[in-house]
Amino acid sequence: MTEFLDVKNIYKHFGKLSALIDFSFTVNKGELVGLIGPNGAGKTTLFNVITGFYQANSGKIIFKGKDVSRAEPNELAEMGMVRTFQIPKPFKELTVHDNVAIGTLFTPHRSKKTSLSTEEFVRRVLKSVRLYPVKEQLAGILGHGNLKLLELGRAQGPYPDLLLLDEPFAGLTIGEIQLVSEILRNLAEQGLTLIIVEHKLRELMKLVQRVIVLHYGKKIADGRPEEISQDEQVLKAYLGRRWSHRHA
Amino acid sequence: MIETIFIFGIVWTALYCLIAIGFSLLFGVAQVLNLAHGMIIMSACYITFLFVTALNWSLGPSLIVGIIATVCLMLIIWLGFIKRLLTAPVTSLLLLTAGLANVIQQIVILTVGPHTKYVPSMITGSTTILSVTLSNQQILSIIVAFVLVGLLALFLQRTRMGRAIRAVTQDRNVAALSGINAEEMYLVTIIIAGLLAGVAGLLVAPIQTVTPEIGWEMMVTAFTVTILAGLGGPIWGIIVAAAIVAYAELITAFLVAPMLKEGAAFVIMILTLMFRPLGLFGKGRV
Amino acid sequence: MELLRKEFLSILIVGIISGGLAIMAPASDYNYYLIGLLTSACLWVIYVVCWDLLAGYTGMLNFGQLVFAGVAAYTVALLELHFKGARPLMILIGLLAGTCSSLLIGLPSLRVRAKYFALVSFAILLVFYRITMTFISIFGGDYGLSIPRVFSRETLYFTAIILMAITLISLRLVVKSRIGMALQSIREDEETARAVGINIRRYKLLACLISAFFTSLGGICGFYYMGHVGPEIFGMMGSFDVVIMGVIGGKGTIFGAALGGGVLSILLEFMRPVAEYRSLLYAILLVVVVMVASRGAWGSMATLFRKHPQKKEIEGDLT
Repeated sequence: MTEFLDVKNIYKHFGKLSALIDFSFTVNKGELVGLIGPNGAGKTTLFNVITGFYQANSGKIIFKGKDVSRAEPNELAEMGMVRTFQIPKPFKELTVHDNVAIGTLFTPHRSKKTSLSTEEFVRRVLKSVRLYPVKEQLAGILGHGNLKLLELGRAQGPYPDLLLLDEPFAGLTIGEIQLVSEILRNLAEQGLTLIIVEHKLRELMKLVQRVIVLHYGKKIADGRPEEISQDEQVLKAYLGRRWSHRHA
Repeated sequence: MIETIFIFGIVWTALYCLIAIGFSLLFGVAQVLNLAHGMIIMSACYITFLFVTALNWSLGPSLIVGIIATVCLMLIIWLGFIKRLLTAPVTSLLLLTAGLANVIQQIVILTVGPHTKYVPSMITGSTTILSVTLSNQQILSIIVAFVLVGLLALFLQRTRMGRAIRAVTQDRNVAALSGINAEEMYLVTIIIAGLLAGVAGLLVAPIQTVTPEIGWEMMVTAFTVTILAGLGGPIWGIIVAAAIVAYAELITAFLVAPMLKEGAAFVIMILTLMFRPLGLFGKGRV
Repeated sequence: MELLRKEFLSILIVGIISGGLAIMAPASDYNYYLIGLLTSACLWVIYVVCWDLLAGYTGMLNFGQLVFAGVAAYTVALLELHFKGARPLMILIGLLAGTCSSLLIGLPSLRVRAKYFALVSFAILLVFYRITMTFISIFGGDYGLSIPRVFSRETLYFTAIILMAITLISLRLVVKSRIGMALQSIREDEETARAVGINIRRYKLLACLISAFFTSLGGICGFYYMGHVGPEIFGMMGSFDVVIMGVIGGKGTIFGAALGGGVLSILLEFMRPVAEYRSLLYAILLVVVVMVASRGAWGSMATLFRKHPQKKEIEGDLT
């Protein structure tokens, strides 16, 4: 399998605070990867660095063979890498339809990857996130659940190959999470590579094939969900030393 | 000539500090860019002028009235207008404060006239330092300004309320978790900003020509100093930034042309925004 | 182009209004007062609509819109006074100068949020005012620069109408195009815009340049009409009037802004006898509109007639 995303030795600090320390990992095309870690471990920072919203202090990011360490988010979108935001930030004064459609307008190279016309493509995306019935409403009036779905739709606009999702289950009910999981599973089946940051561990573990664990900016584990949930380092990170001692 | 620049630089640093701190505080605490800030300072000048010249009050009471009036003006603007638009998109607040600034300016022009006014000094006489002659008024400004800044710094560092204000500046929601009522802190900040604006107006009035236009100039100065210092930084950051702007302007005035001194501030503004948007001492994201 | 087809109605309306305006010249027997009034109104419409592109669509509030007009006008004035011949070239250079002056506000504002753009625009207004008042030998100080009448009033009147029509149509097309979508998304949320592939720097600069280009055209036309340009063009009042007209007319809607520009500028003329109160009244109007109806006259009407009824909150079937 080709190396799709190669993150090498990333260091990122904010003043005296080290958010990421010598962080490296590789993702292959088509993988479904989860990224977990206690609060403050650096997950969102890592996301921001990979997707161009922050610049790493040192280290490299290689996507599809190209060095994108200094790339801007819009350049990454053109290459096929799109992210979602934990707190959805839609274009409130645009319709639901336009929120998705706008992604198709600014990544012309990507649009060539599908044989569908733009309209058909947008329609299909809207249906996949169950928002087709409200496509003419202004995004500003949607409730939280629907906004999360819109976020998923919006991210598909640029026809990505790699999707980085920042806490897609945040603030959702169990039923809503199941729906989102199903949508994500469908995306993976269509060939998208997914990297998902999440806190809701049980639901995440059911979805992904591989889990990477962060703690204080470092990678402390990388493996299949079953292995990770038994890993002592991980347990220590989440639950504290005393607990893992008892169960060692 | 160097001595002249050096000494006058201190005067203007002091004044710019006063002009900028109120603006910076409000921006830091409530994220509000108060475009009417300069006009409020300008009103302080005019109110004092009115009481002293037109109503023939003596200086002392006029100053006090001036300061109280400025604080009241600030409170009216906050409670009656700005507060209601805090949740509106950013452009609304900018338009609002710009509109209010204009309203104030027009009212002043209508009541007092658009011409230059001269406000008499509080202290007469002059002193010579390092072969440079300063009016005592200017020396008074320096002293008052630094005393006030010092007091403000102490207030922010040592008192509970001061620390609460700093907390709100850094993160309003987290501060709320500690039981800090952001609304109250905003109010306190407004009062402080009003006080500083009032004092700034009173001190500036005798030294600088007073026209309704200076309201805009002072607002731009306040903004330049604020972004040069950076948000979330320490108070003395503002002093340093004020000094840089003041000296840059003075040097431009002496070496190039007196009327171009705003150009220096403008260049500083552009350079800061382009190359160091966080300012010299600022923390956090822009 | 498909866009032209979709916008055919708007183009038609603009054409009709322009035609109507054009006819008023011979119809009123070339009444100079009327022609002057309408020329001025056309120019104001240009300024306000350009302002709206920046402020209403891109979210970049510009308190110094007339700077572009002033730079263009002064440039042409200087060229007229010091060089002979090649008028088209002079106009071209003036256009270039005016358009590029927008970079003075645009470039510093690229890295920072839109709030700062507003303040930089204030500052640049002050700076240019100072410059024209400082180098009196070059810029004529208070008196500004004057040239003898070069074009007839009628010519300039028709030119103004044509420029207004071109500006309205061009901006309408821009706004309804991909560029317009990009600008609006920048206004709504810069980060999301970046995430969907929009190069926000490029589009912010584009908005500045387009806005400044048409404003410069207006400024040059205005200069030839008056035969004069003075430091008052860099004054707070003029640019502030543009803002007020834009907000009251309707921020974020090209036609609303145009309406604001047209109506309020004509009103301005009629309020000349009470000029001192006029400024205060306009400023109060601005405050009122911002507090009450932030979408301006046009925008509020548009909301009333919105095609799809807005339900309060939508929770669809999620399970």
